[in-house]
Amino acid sequence: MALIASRRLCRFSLLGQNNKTKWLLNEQTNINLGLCQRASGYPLTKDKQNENLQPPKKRKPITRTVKDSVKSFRKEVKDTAVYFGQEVKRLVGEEKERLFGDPQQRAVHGDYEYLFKFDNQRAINSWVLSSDKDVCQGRSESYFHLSKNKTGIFSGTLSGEIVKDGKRKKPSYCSVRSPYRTLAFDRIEAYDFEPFNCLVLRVRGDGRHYLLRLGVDAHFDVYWSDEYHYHLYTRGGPYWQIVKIPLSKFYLSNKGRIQDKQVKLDKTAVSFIGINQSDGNAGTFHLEIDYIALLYDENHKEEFEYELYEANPDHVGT
Amino acid sequence: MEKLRKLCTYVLQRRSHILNKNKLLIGYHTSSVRLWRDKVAIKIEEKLAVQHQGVFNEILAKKKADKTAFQTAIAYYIAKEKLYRRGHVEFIEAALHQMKEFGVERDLSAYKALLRVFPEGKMIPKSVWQVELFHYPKQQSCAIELMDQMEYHGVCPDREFGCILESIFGAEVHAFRKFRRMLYWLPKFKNASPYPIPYTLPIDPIELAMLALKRMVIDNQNKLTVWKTLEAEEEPLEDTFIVSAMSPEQKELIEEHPETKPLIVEGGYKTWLRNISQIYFVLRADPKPENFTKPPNDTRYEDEEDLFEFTTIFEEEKPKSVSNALSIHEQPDGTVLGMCITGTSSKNSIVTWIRYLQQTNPKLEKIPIVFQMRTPESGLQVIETDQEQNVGKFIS
Repeated sequence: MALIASRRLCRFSLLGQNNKTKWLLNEQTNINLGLCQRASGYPLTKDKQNENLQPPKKRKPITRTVKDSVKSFRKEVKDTAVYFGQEVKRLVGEEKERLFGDPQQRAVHGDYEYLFKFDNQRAINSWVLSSDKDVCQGRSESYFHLSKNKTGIFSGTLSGEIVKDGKRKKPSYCSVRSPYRTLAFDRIEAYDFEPFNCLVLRVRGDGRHYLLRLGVDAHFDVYWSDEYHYHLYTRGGPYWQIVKIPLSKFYLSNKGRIQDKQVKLDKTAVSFIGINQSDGNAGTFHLEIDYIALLYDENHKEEFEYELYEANPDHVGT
Repeated sequence: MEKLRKLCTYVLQRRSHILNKNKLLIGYHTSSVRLWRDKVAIKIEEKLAVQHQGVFNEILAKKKADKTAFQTAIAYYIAKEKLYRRGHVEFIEAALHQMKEFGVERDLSAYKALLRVFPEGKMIPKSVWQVELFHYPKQQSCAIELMDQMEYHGVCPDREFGCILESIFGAEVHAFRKFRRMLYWLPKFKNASPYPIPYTLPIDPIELAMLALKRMVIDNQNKLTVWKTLEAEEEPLEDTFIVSAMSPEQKELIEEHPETKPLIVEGGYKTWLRNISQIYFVLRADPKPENFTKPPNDTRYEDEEDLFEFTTIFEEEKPKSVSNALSIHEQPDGTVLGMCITGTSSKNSIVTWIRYLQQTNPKLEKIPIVFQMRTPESGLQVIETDQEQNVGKFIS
């Protein structure tokens, strides 16, 4: 998020800082402290914190003395040192675990591990929220916040309006996705689902169906838009439901299109988990999520649900 | 010589005229003659598109927008363009846009009728090169768009659809590949949902409410009761219907409920059946936290447990001490005692529902009931259509 924010800052400075942009910047910083991250950093329209925020009328001249520069330089050095110390500690811990930790044992039937549990604000804040409004392709709005019962609520309004840009034909989407897993010094690492074979979610929905996305940690650019999808059907109503989806059921798709040539999901290379609402029905949606977990089910022997035989090579992917 | 000069001046005139009018085309063609030809083609296309939109508007002016009207429009076009089928791509595109208005976007026969608008036999490629170079590109992409719309609305093509497509484009082209893809994937997910809804939803609001409640309840013994206020009593507060869902187990839970603790009616929750949303209300009791907290650790077994630090998903659900099995209606955030959907979703109708429940649950008369009509989770809802306006006012 800091990266995105800084990018936006750069853009504004390129444009020249007038009153309007400064106001936007204020709003931007407020949002960073607010409910949840926005993927692209576009301002929320219905944020109560920012309702009374008006663009400042007069701009103070920027006066920056040598003393200030020295001060900020010192602060930067100090921050970096603190960060370095923290990360070195983390690195040592990781290496220790790698070298001296117990080797991974074979999973036993019923073993599980919580991937995400949405019982605190920090867990909610780390997830990345986006909708087509953020990329100027629609009017859907989405929110992800902590409920009174200490669960995450993914809610919002899906707009049925199609932006008249001459390209878009289908209505919009709202999505929320997990952060990337990071190691020390913010190195991005894939999630490892290895001993487990099922994804378990405890959710309470509204009868609509959602899309579960598993991002692929891919190196080459042709694979960047590859994702594994499966549907999350909800019952609706006041009762909680525990959804168990075998990882073998996830199918390969590229830019939202299901692929002819299917490949088995690599359990060691999942970059993120996401939930999409894009069923095309305009209106509000509401999905309460308690946790996302991994489970080992001994009785599930299937490796991949879909056929892997060779189709006509001239027709595949055309 | 004079003729040639005349032609040149004509062409130049045309050219300047076209350049002024349609500046986009400059980048694509250098030859003025080609420009002129394209201009004519574009004009004809525009005219046709307007005409085809007009066909539907004409039909709509005379008839009600339904399946027969849609088929009449297609028959009208085919009868008019008996020989050449001019502008069939534009016609199909116009029809695809209008399908939702006619209520046929989930109807396979409508798509078949629309596919039959393409001329047969003319566009079948004769060589491999023609196949790979996207023979008749405009027509094929139009057919692909048609099938994409089918896919979007969850309409699965059948054998007959494939036969029609084969007679138009042949079995090797891209459009047919799209059909094969759909035939492969769509049936896989057709019955994937564990909470299925009928393909065509009922129009009657009572039936819709029953369907939604049946989908939401998890108790197999659950019973649905339908009251129409006009039939149930002589002077009702409102003329509406109430569909209530309550199981014998929930009745028992109400009987066991202490009279000092109030019950809560929460409401304004939304539930969806494909594209139809309904608002339901819940009668619930406050949760019993003692049922959901872990029993204090028994020191005798502690060492054994911590040996390998194994935790399984089943362990957490089973408390170690002996206690009564929890009912499925008792959840960590409240005990669900009943649900209802009413015709108006107004406060009066909810009060009426509780009054009707008192007839079968006499204990309810003694227990105080709190009406919480705005829930902390849902908060204010954005109202988009006029239909929901009453409900929205009520909730807010």
